[in-house]
Amino acid sequence: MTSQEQNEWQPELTDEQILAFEQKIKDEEAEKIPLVCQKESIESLEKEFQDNKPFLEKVQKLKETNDELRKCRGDGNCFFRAFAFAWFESLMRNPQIFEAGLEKLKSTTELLLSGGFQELAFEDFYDVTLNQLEQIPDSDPDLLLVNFQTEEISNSIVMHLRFVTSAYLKIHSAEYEPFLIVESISIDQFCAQEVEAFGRESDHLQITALTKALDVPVEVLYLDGSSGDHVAVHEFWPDEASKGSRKALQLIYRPGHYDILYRK
Amino acid sequence: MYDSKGSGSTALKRLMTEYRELTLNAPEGIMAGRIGDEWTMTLPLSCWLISLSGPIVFSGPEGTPFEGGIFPATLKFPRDYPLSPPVMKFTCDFFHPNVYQDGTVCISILHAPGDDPNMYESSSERWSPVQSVEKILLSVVSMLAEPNDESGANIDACKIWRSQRERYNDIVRANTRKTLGL
Repeated sequence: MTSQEQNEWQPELTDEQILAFEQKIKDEEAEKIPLVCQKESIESLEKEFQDNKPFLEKVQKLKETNDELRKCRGDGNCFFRAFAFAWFESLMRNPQIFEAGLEKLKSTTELLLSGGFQELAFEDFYDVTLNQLEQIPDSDPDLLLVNFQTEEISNSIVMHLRFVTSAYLKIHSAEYEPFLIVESISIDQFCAQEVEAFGRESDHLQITALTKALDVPVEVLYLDGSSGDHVAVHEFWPDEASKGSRKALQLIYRPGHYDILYRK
Repeated sequence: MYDSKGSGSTALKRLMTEYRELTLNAPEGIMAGRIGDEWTMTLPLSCWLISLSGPIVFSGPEGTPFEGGIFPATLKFPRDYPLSPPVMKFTCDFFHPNVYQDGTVCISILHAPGDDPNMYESSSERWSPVQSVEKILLSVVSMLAEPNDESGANIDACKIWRSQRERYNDIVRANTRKTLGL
């Protein structure tokens, strides 16, 4: 083997340098946008899509029903982070559903144990999530936002929701495995690769599982390149019977990214 | 500017728990112990939160040319551990298809899904926070017995392991003896 060939197979950077480099990329990304942003007018989407007619038409239609959105960092965790923030915020706005939310969160430890998770793996993330949720009655929206912008807190909550999603899918694998036929992987593999790993993006399966596990309805409004101003709404109701009796959290999706949406 | 960087307290708490578990119930076949000082912390000046100041020590598994050897290695943890995996490095001469010449161990459990330096099979076990130091150590033990030449880190070692097994065994045995100061 020539020395040149050998060089190709040797790491050119030390592991310290590689980790430092990865951290630098994360930090640079962090400087562009917080993990969760302040609310902004939906008009910012109009600006974003001013040269994209199909998207623009839909945003303009959306303005009839929605006036604000809250962006989340596009780090692969945006669905979980957007969901978590919108959920916590809804518990803060509606004290009458707070207790039920708290109980639901507390019940997740049982769910995780039944899903085969070791306490060692989830306890720290759960503790942070529970602590944050318990603070809600004595907290305020600004503090909630600050906490969700704090990497350690925010990421722990994301991770706990990932585990909850994974446990729910594993426990109900018979129901969900058929959706993985195309990928031809088992639910366990899917969970290990796509759900439990931090930073992997989410799709229908994760949303369905999480909304059912926590009994939190979600509507996802899809922006896409189809013609016309119709915004497709995908509804995720934990059970159809409760539909209409409560309001779903709203998220807005455009290819590859979720943000939080607010009704007028 | 928006990133508090985190104090790393989650990482530290988790590592302390794992460390306690490891000292109380070390998995069979691993002499995972700590030699030397207490855990040390290097604060956010660098991206490392914690490094084991004393090496983890492996005894080579029976029936392999590593048998009888004592192989020191270090594990270094990123500040956001366990969201991201640690880096493992042997600090002795180590000839193995899945270990770079600088000692860095390259197996799938040390990489998150989507991070594919060596084109691992999609079914192989990847890093996520459900993994742990213990599981890494177990993977390394099985790596010693069963190299994966599909995703090699040391191409020379891959070739020799594949086509000249006796020569491979000799090189490894020589390293093994070296670790014992023979």
